[in-house]
Amino acid sequence: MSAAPPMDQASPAAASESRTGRRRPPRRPGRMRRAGALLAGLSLAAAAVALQSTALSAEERSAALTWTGGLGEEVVASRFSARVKGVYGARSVQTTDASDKVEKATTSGIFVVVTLEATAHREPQQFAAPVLLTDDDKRYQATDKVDSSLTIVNPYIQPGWWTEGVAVFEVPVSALTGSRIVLPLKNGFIGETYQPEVEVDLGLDEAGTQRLIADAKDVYPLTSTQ
Amino acid sequence: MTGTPAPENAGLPDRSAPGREEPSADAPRRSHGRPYGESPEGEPYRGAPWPAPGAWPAPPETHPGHPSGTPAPPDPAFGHPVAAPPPPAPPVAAPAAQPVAAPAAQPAAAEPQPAGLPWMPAPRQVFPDEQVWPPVPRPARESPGSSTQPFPAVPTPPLPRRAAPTAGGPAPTPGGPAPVTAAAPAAASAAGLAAPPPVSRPDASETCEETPPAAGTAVPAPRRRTALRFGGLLVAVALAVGIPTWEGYGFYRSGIPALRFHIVEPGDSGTLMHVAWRAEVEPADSLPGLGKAKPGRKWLKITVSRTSLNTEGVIRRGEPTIKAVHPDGRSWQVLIADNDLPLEVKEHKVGTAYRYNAVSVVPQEVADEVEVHVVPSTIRVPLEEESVEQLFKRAGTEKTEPRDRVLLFRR
Repeated sequence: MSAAPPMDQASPAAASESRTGRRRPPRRPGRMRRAGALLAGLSLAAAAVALQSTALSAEERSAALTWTGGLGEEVVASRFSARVKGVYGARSVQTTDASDKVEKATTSGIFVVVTLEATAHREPQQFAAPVLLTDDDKRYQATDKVDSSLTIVNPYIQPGWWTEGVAVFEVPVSALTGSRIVLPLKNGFIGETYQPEVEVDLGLDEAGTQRLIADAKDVYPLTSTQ
Repeated sequence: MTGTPAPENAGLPDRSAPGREEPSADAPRRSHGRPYGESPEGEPYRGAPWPAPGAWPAPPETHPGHPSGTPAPPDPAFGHPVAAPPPPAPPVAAPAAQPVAAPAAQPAAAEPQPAGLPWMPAPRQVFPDEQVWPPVPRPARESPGSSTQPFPAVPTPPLPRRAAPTAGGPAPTPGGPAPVTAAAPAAASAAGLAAPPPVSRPDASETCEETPPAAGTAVPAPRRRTALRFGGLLVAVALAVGIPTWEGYGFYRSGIPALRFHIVEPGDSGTLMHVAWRAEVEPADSLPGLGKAKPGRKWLKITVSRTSLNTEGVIRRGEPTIKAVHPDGRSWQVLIADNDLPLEVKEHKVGTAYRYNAVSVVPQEVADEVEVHVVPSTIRVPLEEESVEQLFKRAGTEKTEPRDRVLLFRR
């Protein structure tokens, strides 16, 4: 018996079996790799499923881009700037329109009158109905008890000067603390996505809410400015 | 040829003539084997041990005969570490079968050549030659699968994927196997001749795979594929980002078309869509009915006149959009207060100027710079009152024109 056996007979046989022989060696180390690949695949699939839960809803996807600020600050958004000047409470709002017609709106809750001003950067803008966003993420749209032509919704916000106006909300007293006002822009028939909006904290902490309620006027007069 | 790779054969203790030629008919069939418990040392069979690294001996292709009846000294070629039985699965069937064969006689001289017994004490280790490859035809009564001796692995050229990690390619190329298969016989024989241990243990496959005959052919292919993958990735990302963007831009432009400006010099009139347009701007501090402008602002009294050049101009008598635009891009709202267009279409004469009176308010400092943009309406209002049937008949025939043509009146 020799250490180096003659291979002239073995070689053709080995060659014919080269297919099975070639396949066998990678299989052994492949077991761990296969388990790892399986784990990786499973984790990737799980991650893909988990990612779906973080996907934005249709509303969130077309939601406006929000610039935030505080009371009295000038909040500069992409197309306009806004500044909230003051917050007042009222038990009723008396409106006098351009034809001197007087109406009085009353509520079981409280009227929140926000005085604000705004200016545009390039093109004339118009506000959609403002929204009061409460601490627990409830949304109160500006009241329809007050003629909207007397509020900030009516005038064009144009470049070059500040346009003043008010936003009137009717809310329960419990919703006041921690509320913010949101000023969205009017959207066209084909809704434009990612429109700018401004969110301003009204600075109503517990004490501020108590003060607002205590100082609430019986009648808040509202007249057309021009 | 007698060197059957039967497991019973491989593990038999040799008492008299290891590795001798096939005995005469008096010898019992090897397949029954002999009880291991009857070995002189009394070692019971403990199953095939796992081989030591690099232990599998090279099989001879021919089996030289040995003198019978004389115990052969341990073969120097099969030293102690070399004598390991084959690796894969320890034979399970063998121990069960051997007790059955226990009563069989043990003619020492008739015993065929056994292979090495690693579990036997060292002095008993005798390693005769035995053909394991190519496999010797098995006795007919041995059922397939009864043999527990595995065949040695045949050395082959390494797979192209061995070379892939160094080249960066993770997987074998699709085109890779074809050339390797073609070159397989030559490479196999070359590898078999070159490698001193022609039989490789599967456990040591990693070391065996590193012989690089086919590596040279396999290396360039993964490189090409890397470029291809990167290109595909780029194309896929570009398409995934670009197509929605392009579609969204098209949708955006369907609502807000890119404007085409027709510049009109001061005092001139601009003609667009069979209508001649003229615009005048007059800043004012106060306007009748509107009162004084607020401090810092000025009224702009804008008068736009239109003259239909033909009947088509009369058809396009929709109200235009007027804008007050500063050259720096800022613009102000313009409200059309009234116009003197006739209510009846029949009174709308070709060649007569009709006016729109509009009002705007701009900051005082730009009152003399603001230009007027007039965007004529593209709506075609028919000359005669249409019945509903006619309206529907006309509905699909006309292509809606985008309102993208703008007359820019210089100051």
